[in-house]
Amino acid sequence: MKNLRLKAARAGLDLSQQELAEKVGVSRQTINAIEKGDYNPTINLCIAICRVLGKTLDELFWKEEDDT
Amino acid sequence: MNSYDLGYVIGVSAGAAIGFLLVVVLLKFSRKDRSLRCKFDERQELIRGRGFKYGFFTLLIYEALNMAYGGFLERIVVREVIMAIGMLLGVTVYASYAIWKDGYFSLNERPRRVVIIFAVLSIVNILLGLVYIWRGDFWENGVIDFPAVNLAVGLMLLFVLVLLLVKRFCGKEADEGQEDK
Repeated sequence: MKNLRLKAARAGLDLSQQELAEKVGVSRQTINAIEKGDYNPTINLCIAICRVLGKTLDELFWKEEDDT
Repeated sequence: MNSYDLGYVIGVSAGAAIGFLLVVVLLKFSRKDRSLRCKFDERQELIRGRGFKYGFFTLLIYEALNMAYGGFLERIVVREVIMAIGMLLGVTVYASYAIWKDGYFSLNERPRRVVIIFAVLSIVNILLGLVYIWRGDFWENGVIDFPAVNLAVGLMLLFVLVLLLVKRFCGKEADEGQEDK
């Protein structure tokens, strides 16, 4: 399942995948995989991403019922 | 054990000891300068772990086949080459999986430098293999001899190199549209 909220939050800060990856300390491909829904990050990585984007875990990673 | 055997064992042991010392020195050096240490993120570690698993099982299956058919194979290829091909197959499976899943290069590694090193090593080994064939050292009494390892290493590196380039090309195409701000 794609994580469109993460992509939107990143775009909202005008960050590229590469820039977000550098701030979080992971590879660009890992950010890409999370956004595409190909990889489920650990809670530590989720928190690191939330901190950089200024969002909460719920806002970025909580799966709502209407999320498909 | 005759003097030749003794010299062989001492020579191989000395080589292994020097190699081990070199690794220890490099590790010690890398501890001081952390930039030499490869850093991988959690997804890459996962991919590399899976790659090692597939490489291990490849080696296991190869060794099982070697146990079953090795006797026949040794009529056309020397034992050392058969063993080396098993190791190369395991490493190739690991590297291929890691490359294809973007887990091969660490966060602080320059892919271009690795590609250049692989290209040079591949060309040198393939050329060495061809020279051995041309000089007739490739075979001895109709059996493929140890110099065949150079050709095998060269071909393995060439395969990994091609895979790296294909992945790089495919990755660029797939990322178009994903990288939008």
